Amino acid sequence: MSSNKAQFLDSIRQALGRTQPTSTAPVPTPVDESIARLARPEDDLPALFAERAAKLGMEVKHTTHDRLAKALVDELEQSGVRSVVSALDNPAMAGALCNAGIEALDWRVDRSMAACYAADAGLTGAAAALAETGSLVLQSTPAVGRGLPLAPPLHVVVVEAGQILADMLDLWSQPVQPPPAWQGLISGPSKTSDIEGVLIQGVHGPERVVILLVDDA
Amino acid sequence: MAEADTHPSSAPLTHEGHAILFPPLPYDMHERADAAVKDTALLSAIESATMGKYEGRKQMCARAFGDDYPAMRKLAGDIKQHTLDHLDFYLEQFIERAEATGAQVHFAADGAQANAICLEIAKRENCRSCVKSKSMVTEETGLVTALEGAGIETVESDLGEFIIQIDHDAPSHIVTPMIHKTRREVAAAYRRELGVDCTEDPEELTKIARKHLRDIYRKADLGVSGANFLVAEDGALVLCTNEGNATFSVTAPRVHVAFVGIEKLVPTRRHLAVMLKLLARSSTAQPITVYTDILTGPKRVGDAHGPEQMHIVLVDNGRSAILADPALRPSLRCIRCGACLNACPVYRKVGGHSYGAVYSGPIGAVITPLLRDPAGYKDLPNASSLCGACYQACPVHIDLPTLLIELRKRLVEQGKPKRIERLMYRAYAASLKSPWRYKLSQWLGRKWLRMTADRDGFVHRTLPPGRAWTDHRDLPAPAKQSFHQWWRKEKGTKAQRHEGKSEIRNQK
Repeated sequence: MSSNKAQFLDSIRQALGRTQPTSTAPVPTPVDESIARLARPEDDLPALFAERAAKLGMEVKHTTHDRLAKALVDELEQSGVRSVVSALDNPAMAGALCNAGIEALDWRVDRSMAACYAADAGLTGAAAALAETGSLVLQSTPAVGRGLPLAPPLHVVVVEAGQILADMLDLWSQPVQPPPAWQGLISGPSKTSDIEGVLIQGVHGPERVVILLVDDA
Repeated sequence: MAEADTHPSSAPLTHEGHAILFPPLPYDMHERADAAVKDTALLSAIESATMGKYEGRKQMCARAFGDDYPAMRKLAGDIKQHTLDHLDFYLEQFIERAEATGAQVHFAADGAQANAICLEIAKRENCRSCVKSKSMVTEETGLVTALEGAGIETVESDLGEFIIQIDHDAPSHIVTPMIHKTRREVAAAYRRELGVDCTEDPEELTKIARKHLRDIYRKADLGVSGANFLVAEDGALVLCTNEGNATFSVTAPRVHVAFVGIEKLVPTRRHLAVMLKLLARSSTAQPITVYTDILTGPKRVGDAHGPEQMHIVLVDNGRSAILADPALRPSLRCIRCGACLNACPVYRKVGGHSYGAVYSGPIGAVITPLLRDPAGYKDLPNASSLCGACYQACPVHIDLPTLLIELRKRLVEQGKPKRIERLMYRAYAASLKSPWRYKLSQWLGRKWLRMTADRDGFVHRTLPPGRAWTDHRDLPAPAKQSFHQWWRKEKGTKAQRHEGKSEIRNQK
């Protein structure tokens, strides 16, 4: 394959009128933030995030650390959820789920895709959130897999107000080393309008995404 | 669940729409375009879908960027142009970083090589069934046909592409591939191909596909995707979808193969952010696609989900030839948002299949002849009114009208113009040789058209070569007097008092 690679790169170089690799790295076009930035750190980030996440079709519930477990159980009961896979490392919540009679599978016990396919809901935290768009940022780590926010029909995600970044430019202000195998920006429930432009939620991924926004301030 | 498994979908889902995108060359687009402009159902479907997105894009971009929208497009265009101008450097950097994450990078000079690489991987890893997310490059290479030919059952997972596949049709839009199809056709295809009993309700049809594809995801051991972007600084591959089908297709199967055109690179994630801010807004009037997956390598030690292997096939397939042509290089900036299709008055009237190619609309009219065969697609650069709406819509600032004119110029320089064309231009040139000749020709033309016009003020049918026009459109009859005559008469009177402005606009 390596000769193949050399040949391939040679043909690109030739196309650009070069015979040798460039000796100095080119200086990429600077990203002018006065044009590209759409949210600023000094903005009211929780409010902006909540507003925009709602606009994307996600349901935002405001709560506090003290009331989080109850908010979660209320949400699941209202949604008629009977089984969940939970990657939330929170004993209080696990207890509350148990008391409510919701079958809660701990992610650490069963991390299989099969468990994700079978569950009514996936419970996760987030690595960050973006006020700019209202997006959730999730990453694959041993503590959460990429099938969990994807396969169950309902995704409930706990976001702390302090996790909210202003703009995508802030998320990627410097390269992450090493990057996780997957970083996902989730911006709403799974959607399509392929059939005659009719908007339908829950094509492959979840029909609903519920954000429990924890803001003690 | 168990019930869904019993439906008789045993017929192989082959890509019979191939002939629509790969017609014999040279391709004459008139036959399909003629049929399309007479198909009122098709026209209204395309018109409502494209106009909705066209207006939506303008509103979304105005809301997000305000007066900076032109500057934002310029910035994105500059980023892509810079990357193309140093593509050798960024490709090498990408390869090195991607390999460092554990991904395997492959190199394909053309479509056949790309398909062969994928088949080899599938064979070596003993893959029996494949689930695939939407990718334009795989349409170019005909990967699905190649996989099925090798006995690997392959199912498209994007809802539109899935329906097109089971209905043996071909995509007609870069972003919304089944823009030309009605719910009735979808339901008919479901009953025939999937053996399900269903109504024409889009919600029901979507949920049937969800269930069907869940089984496919569970079964597939090969996941194929394209890529919307590659990031040179960390070797990341970026996928943007609304349905989540790409996420699924590269999460459930144990082997992931991505086909990527070499023009997809951006230098850093900050540059990626600029592109993401424009892509969905330009494409479907959303601030961002629902799922933006940034993949760097196969699953890590300790990760529960994700493929064991990630293969990135870098595809040239005619791109380096465009790269070598500085005048046309900007066409490689394209991020496949489809905004120029939605903006194009020609695309909206003839639909994607009339272009006879994988890429339709203004960008297709530029890159199809370049990627495939300039002589084989002579009609495409001419299938534009050069109104400039595509340029206005393009998030990476590709001056499409100028590129189309450049291609037309080359066609004229290379080919022989038709006899009738030469005759007409000769006559036109003769009429411009002196003022009296010009006036005489204008007078004759006006007289003749007014004579052939019907009482409603339109010419409905005229002699060739004018008939090429009146076969499809009515030609408004010219005014009684020419602008010259009017100006001469008015100059000394009204026009002097009013600077002539409003009168000129109102003149009949």
